[in-house]
Amino acid sequence: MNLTNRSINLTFGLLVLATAASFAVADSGAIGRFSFAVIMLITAIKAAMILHTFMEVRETAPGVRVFFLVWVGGVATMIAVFHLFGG
Amino acid sequence: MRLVAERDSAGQMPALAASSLNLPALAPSIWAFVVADAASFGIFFAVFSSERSVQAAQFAQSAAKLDIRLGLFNTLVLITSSWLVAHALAAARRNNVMGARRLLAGALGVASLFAVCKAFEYSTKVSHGLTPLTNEFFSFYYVLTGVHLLHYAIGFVALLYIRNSVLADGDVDARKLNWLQSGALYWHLVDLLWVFLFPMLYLQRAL
Amino acid sequence: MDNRFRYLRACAWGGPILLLVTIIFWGIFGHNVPPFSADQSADAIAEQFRPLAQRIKLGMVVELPFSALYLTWGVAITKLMEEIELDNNVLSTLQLWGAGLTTMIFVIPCAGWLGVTYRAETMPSWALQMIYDMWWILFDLAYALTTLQMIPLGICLLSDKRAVPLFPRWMGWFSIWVGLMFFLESFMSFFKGGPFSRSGILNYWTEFTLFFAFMALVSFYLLKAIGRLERETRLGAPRG
Repeated sequence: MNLTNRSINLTFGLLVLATAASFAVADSGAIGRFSFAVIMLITAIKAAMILHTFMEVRETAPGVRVFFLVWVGGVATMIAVFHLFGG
Repeated sequence: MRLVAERDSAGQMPALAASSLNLPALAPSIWAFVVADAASFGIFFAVFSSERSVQAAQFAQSAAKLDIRLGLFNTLVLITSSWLVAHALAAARRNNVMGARRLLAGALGVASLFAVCKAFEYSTKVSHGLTPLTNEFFSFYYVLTGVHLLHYAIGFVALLYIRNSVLADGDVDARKLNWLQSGALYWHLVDLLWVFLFPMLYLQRAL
Repeated sequence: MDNRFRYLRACAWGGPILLLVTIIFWGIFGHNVPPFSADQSADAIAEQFRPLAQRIKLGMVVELPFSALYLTWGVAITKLMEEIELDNNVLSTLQLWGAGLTTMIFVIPCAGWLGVTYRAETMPSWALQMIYDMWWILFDLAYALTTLQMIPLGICLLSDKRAVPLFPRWMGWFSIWVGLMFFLESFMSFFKGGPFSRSGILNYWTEFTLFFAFMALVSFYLLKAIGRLERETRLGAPRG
C-alpha cells in the first residue's frame, strides 16, 4: 500500500499547479493555435495522477489498467484533435 | 492482481490486524462501476466533440459566456476534496478512525462549495436567458454538468453515510475499509470526470 | 421429490426469448432501429409511417404476447434473489414489482403503436404524430420502474455472502449502474433532434444497447446460477 502522506500531498500540489497552468494557457492564449492541445495534455497528466495515486489503479486487474490508459489518452487526444481540426 | 476483494472458504473477508493494516490492497469491486461510468462519459465526450466540430464557432462563442473562474474554482474544490478523502483512507488504514472521520468531514465541507457554486452558476446563466434549449452547446453544458452533479450528489451522500454510520464506532475492520475504499474511489471518479469537463466546456474558447 | 427450483429454468428462458423477439419484431419489423425522428413535421412522419404500417403492425402483434415473458423472467430472478438475500425479502419484492411494472411498459406502448397502424391511412397526420410521440414518451420516461428492478437486484447480488457468489460481483455494480444510467432518458422529453432525442446516439443507441446487454448478461448468469443451485441441492449442500 503506497498511499503515503507524502505521495498524497505531492500529487495534490502537482494537480493544483497543473490546473493553474491550464488556466494560464487558456487565459493568455500565449501558445496560439495549439493552446487547447497543450491544455488537454495537461488534463491527461492530471487524470493519470488521480488514477495512479488517489485511486491506486495499479492495484486493479491488468484489464482495468489498460482500459484507463486507453481512456485517458484516447479521450484527451480525441477532444484535442476535434478541437484542432473541427469547424 | 485480483480485481475483487474475495472472501475465504469460510466466507470471511480478509481480517485486518488492529494495529497495522499491512495488507496487499485488494481492489474493491466498485471498479466495475467506475469503468462503466468512465466509458459512458467517454461516449458523451465523443458526441460533444463531434457536434462541436460541426459548429465550432457557435460552440466557441457560447463557451465564452461561461465564467472560467467558476470552473477553475470548482476544479480546485474537487481536487482539494479528493486530497482530503485520500488522506482519510490512509488514516483508516492506520486504524485512525477519528482522523479518518475528521478528514472526511473536511472533504465534505470543501465539497459542498461545489454545489453552491453550481447553483449560483446555473441561476445566473438562466437569468441571462441561457437555458438547455438555447443552443447545442448549452444543451450539452447543462446535461453534462447536470449528470456530473448527480454523480457528485450520490458520492456526497455515500461519503456522509460512510463517515457517520460505517465509521461511527469501533476499530477499522475489513468491511469498513472496503466501504471507505469504495466510497473514496467513487469520489475520485467524480473528480476525474470534472478534470475533463472543465477544459472541454470552460477552456475550449482557447484558440 | 421436493424441487424448489421446478419451473425456474423455463421462467428464466423468458428473458433471452423476449430479447430475440424484441430485436426482430419490435426493433426490425416495428421500424424501431431507430424509431422515426421527432425532428420532423407531422406530414413528414406520416409519409414515412403509412407505407410501413402493416409491417409495424405485425411487429407489435407478435411483441405484445411475448412481452409477458418479461414477468416470467422477473420471477426467476426473484427466486434467485431469495437464495441470496438476508434478513428479509424487501429487495426481491422490489425487483419483482419492478419487473412486473416494466412488463406493462412493454405492453402498453406496443398496443398504442399498434393502434396507430390500425387506421394509419385515414387518420390525420397530426394525430398520427401525436399518438406515436405519446407512446414513445411513456416507453422512455417510465424508466424508473425498470430502475426499481435493477438497483435492488444489484444490491442483492453485492450482498451475496457465498465464497464464490452466484453472480460475479461486477454484475451487481453493472445492474446498479444501468439502473442509474436510465435517468438520462429524462432529457428525451426536451429534445426533438440530436443525441438526447428518442432516436439519438445517447438516448436510443446507448441506452437501449445497455438495456439489451443487461437482459442478455442477467439471463446468462441466471441460467448458470440455477444450474449451480440445482447441483448443490442434489449434493445436499446447506441452503444459502
